[in-house]
Amino acid sequence: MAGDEFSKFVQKSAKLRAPKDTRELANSITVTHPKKNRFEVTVNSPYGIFQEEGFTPHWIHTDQIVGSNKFEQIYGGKRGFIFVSKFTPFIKPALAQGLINLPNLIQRHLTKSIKNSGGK
Amino acid sequence: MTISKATIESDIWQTIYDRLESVTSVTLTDATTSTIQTYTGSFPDSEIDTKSAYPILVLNPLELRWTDYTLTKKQVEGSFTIDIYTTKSESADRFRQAIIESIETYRATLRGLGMDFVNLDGTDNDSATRGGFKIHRRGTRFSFKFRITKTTGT
Repeated sequence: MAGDEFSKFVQKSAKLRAPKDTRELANSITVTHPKKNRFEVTVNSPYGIFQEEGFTPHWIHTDQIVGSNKFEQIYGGKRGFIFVSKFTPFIKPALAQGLINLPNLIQRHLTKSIKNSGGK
Repeated sequence: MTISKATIESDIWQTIYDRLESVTSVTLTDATTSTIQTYTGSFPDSEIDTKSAYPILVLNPLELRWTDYTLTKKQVEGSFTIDIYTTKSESADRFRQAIIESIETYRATLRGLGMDFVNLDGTDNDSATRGGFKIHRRGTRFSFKFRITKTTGT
């Protein structure tokens, strides 16, 4: 099914792009099929929206960071406040890449459907 | 290797996986050789930012559906997707070419195991920049058909 293939492509591409500091974000990207002819790519992590859409740069305390390897590497486990400003969109670029492949995908499934229905 | 009805999914996956292990390396235009570092069934998240872990070959889980074939048989229509992740676009292209060739030359064996009409269904491309390097993905999707005998009385 073209919808299934397209949504899985977007999922795969988004996982490739998602920041992997704790891997929670990438693991939270799922594809569901709630009803016929409908596929949904969902980001279940609460901070997904902020990585995608951005946020106002702000200070956070290191105690608020949970499970980050990068934090240990960069700050050596020191406690205090750090400035957070970087965000990485991952869904829109994945969707854009998927749309590049979409015409081929539709063409392929159309050809297959025509063939299955007895056409040439 | 045989493919049985009860374990059709794992049997087919293992058959394809074993075949893909014969795709090991490719030679690039600059005469360097690129060798696959990891064969796996799902992308190894922990390795994503480690440049030396690439190329990574992923044989994704199968997708299967049934259709009626005869009064006594069902036809399983399935597909499998192989992704190759590399840090060089050229090696990604060459690995995909090697993967397609590997499956194409194995079609007679697959047919002997009951997998008919193994065909290249389509390909796709993707790339993303992570840290200090770019990851290139080349996807290859194959379809196949397999017939199973229905359980008596169903």
